[in-house]
Amino acid sequence: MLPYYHSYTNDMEVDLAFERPDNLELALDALKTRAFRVIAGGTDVFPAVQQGQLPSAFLDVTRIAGLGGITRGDGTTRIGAATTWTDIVRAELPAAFDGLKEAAREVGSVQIQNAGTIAGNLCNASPAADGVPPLLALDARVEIASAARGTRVLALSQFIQGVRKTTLAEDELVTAVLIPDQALGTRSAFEKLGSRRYLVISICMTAANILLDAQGRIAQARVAVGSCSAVAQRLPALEADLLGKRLQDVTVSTAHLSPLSPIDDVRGSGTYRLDAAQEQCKRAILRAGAV
Amino acid sequence: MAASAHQLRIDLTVNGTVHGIDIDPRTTLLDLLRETLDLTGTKKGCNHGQCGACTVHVNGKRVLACLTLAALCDGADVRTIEGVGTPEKLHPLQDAFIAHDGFQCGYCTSGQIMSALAALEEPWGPDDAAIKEAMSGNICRCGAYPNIVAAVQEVRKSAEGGRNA
Amino acid sequence: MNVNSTVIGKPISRVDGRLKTTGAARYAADHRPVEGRPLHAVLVKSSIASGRITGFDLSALQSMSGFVRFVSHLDGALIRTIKNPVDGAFAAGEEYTPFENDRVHFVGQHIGLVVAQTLEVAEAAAKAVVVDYETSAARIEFADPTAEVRQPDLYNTGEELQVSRGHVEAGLVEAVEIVKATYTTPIEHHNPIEPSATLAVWDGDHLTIYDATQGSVNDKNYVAFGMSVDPKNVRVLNPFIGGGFGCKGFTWPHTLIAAAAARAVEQPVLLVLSRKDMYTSCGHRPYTEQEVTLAADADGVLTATRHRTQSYRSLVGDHVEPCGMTTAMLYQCDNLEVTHSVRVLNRPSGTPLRSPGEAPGTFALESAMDELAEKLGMDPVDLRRRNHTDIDQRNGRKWSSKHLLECYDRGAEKIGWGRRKAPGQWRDGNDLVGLGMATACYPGYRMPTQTRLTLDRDGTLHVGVAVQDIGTGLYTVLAQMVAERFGTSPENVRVLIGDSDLPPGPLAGGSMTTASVAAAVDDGCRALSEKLRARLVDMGHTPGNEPLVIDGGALRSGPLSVPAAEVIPTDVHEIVAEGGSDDTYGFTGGVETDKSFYSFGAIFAEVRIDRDFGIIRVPKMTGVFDVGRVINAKTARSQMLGGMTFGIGMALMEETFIDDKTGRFVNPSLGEYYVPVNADVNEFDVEMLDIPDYDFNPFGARGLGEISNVGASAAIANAVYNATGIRVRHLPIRLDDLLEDLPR
Repeated sequence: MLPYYHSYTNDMEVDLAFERPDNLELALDALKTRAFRVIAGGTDVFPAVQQGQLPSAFLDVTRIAGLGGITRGDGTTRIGAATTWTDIVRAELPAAFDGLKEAAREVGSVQIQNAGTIAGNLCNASPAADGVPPLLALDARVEIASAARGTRVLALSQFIQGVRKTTLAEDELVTAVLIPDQALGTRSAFEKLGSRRYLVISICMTAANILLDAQGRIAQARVAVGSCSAVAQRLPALEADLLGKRLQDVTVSTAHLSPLSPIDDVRGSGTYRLDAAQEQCKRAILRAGAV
Repeated sequence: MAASAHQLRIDLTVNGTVHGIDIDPRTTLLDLLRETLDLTGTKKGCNHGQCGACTVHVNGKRVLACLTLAALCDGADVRTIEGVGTPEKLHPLQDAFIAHDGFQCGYCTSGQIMSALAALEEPWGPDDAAIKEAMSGNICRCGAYPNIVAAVQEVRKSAEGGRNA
Repeated sequence: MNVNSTVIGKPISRVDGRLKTTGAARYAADHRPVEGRPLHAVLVKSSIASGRITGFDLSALQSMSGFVRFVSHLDGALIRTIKNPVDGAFAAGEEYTPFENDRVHFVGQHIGLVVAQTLEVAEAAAKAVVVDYETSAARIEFADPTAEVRQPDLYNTGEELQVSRGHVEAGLVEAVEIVKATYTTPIEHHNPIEPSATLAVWDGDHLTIYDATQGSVNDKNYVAFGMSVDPKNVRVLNPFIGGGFGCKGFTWPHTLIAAAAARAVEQPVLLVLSRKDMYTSCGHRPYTEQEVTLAADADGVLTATRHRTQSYRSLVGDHVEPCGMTTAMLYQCDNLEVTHSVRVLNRPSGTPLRSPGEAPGTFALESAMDELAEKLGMDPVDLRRRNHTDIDQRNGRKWSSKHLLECYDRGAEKIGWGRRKAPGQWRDGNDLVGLGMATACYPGYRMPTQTRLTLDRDGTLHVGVAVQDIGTGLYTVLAQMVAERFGTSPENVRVLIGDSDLPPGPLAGGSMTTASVAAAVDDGCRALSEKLRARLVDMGHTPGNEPLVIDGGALRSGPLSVPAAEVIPTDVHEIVAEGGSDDTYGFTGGVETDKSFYSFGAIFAEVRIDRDFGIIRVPKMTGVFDVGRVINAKTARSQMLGGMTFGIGMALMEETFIDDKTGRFVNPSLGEYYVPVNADVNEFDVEMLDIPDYDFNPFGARGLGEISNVGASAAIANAVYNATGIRVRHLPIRLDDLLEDLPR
């Protein structure tokens, strides 16, 4: 038995199981046997548990060697699944990651950023997940492993499929978020709007990654908006229109926002969200582009 | 008393004392501290990670005890408000909270102080805006916010003065 | 009057600060029985708004190891029927008996209690209880035409809720400008960070309760009545309370349920409400619709005032949000009509929430005053000055002490009122900037209070009274009061509160504790002083006429100095004196007086609004208050900061939504019911005029817990209007209220 491997089953009450493997193989083997709720920071799991949706089994992945931490190489920045938001805020990363860092500082509170992980935020698949727009703007991919099928990698936009819905199979575990190296000089920014300054669910949020050419024209643009659709969306029409433009000429039209379908809710009307998204896009682009 | 036939064994250090405890796997760190170890200085305000009253340090980082499964804390080093100072021997931050009246009812105060202690070690800037952001995960319904900022600033400045001296 | 300037009014740090900052202060859920551990209890609440319970399926519970007992109405009369709470000499949050029968009146009503060995098992068991209901038609929607509408006569203070004087219609004819508008305020919840909690410990027919209550004496009487035991056998302990703001004021069913369960299982029971429980178990501020009509002549003199409030009550709680009470007294106006009506709905019960009536009422009244000033082309402060009166408009009495005009002057100066521009005209970069103001006021209340003053052989003074410090600073204030009377330092005074076995005092509500204990402490100190003088004479000393000073372990009077250890015989250890006051002010049946007692203030707010998003920030608020003598400048300022922070929340964030179909609150959590966080709060500038009101009590203090919340939301709403030209007549003001019409 490995030092941190504990197994627990209580078949008397709610068939509650608790597994704590210390390497990936053991974790994937456990996932073969039954449905688990994977738990790392627990910041999204526990509010759900306390509302009565008690999972039958927990798989604690915090002991798995190599699942946390940020490494760079082979044209990719690899952010381990169990990397916390605080790890990201404090990591030495290129300016293209500034938007992700800004978003990381908006995830709940510092206490939550210390525990909550990047993969947890993606797997929870909330329309208001702060991590998703900046990762879309970084063209992030998700690395997934299973005992039966090995490793697969897919685009983040394909990974999250709807409200609280991902493509993750029951025997799979997200192992990392992979970011392709961004062109040198790429910069980014993140904008968030909520009813109070912190500790708030986003009404609307926008991330932009911008690269300017030597003449100050936009050479590459990726813009993503969250909380305005079931899944955060890139804005391809806007991105295309931005190419070749100088920052002072940037305009965002309602047509650019066509991938968005914001709903009316108690925090803000859909109309308001669209207005806000339009302005946020502009601000995020200008801030990302500004030297 | 054994409430459940099946218990999970964990070992953890709390305020320097090592405990080996059989827990119900559903137990949160917050309930373990309060109901098993009788460390009631850590408070339950919302039990959903939305108020900060249960802030403690685990392995040197501030986290919310209500969102932390005790089972995840096997081998962890936990620090609670009881490990900071005592009524007879206050930590300078506790002194500053009293001097600046950084609380009224006092219920959120343990969490505020645990957050502030951590924030003083985290890489925040020197201005009030940074302190406010650092402390925004801890709700004070009595509205002691400006006084909390003043207390944290006093300790930050005196630590800075100490380093520069 | 002996005002010792070294103690009274000074910014002395809280005497309980060391306990509160180290986690050593014990709140209700932190206590443990003398022996062993308590059983844990979790409430089972109704999921329907109206109907009856036809059965419970407990099959899943029986196999749970650690499950102890399920308690419900099927257990028979665990609790004595409360037919008329008034007869029981207590104030209950709801006028019904928990577990009396199978009836359900609202979603969240307590219908059962699970008791288990551990909290984890209790929580799992409570979720596993299956309840069968027979539902009946529920009236939930505010506008439900079938709902019964009532016009209650009196508020719980005895104040008239339907007021009429002069002829409003005639006043309207005289007017040159009329404002008639409807303002709404949402359901709001107190959300103290400490959830309500009760630890009930029986010893034979004696019951000890550690309860998160704002009133230990009231709690004791309520529980004693419900448990059919002599109140002398019930002791309620509440040395520390984690905020209340009204929801722990009256006693609520969960406290009785915990006591009944502990008796049923013959073991101590700890019941801690969840945050979600807090939304339906101990009241809220009900939604209000307020139609305000203000009419004025060309000089701005009010010729008619009408304030019609519509709100609701539950089937089992009689709280009325008394929005128009301020309107009836504040401004000079001979033609006035104030009405209150409530619809009876299948919703959880309302209860006072920090400045009940005044806070939502002044949002409407003071917004309407701002609208009137705009119509008249007058400065809003001038309009208020124009209608200022030194006579309480309700009864023709003079105010005991009113310095509202100075509050306007100081506040305007401090906020820089002269910078104010026409609506929508002040721009700073991308921001629109505006200034707004409102009048604040709150009644002066006082209740009968007794105290026990003790001197021990060390020369330490002790003061005991069954009141409680919910964060107001009362521990410190009491120490200061006693220290002042005996010329000593507060460090030389031990304060005993939070125990119903102490001489009785009022609950912590209505901003009345300081004023109430002031009279009692004054009398108790006089009684102790007389006893000590008599003792000195017995000993052969001749104390002079100088006040008796007790300091440094000795009693002094003029040149005479005698060690306390000599004054107090070795066989008694201490000398005890009791004193108090039976006087009531501000409630029906109070002292006959030719004065009216009220605190006043003026609140000014500066707002900055991002033109692109409509984000409203409040960079600065100034409050100047006339609250009588301030006993402790530090804790008093803190209370004012707290009230103004409440005001920001009320103006811009706080709202509980109800689902009109099911009767459920939609956002019962601190993650979805937003209150201000640290970064939402900026500069507060607080000043208290500190003018003693000795007609009110011997220390000259009036209350100050609630007034700082009064007017704050109107000041912000008026500032938003000034910044944008957009009048928002509902709270909270949301981001999307402004964006469409913002001047770009």
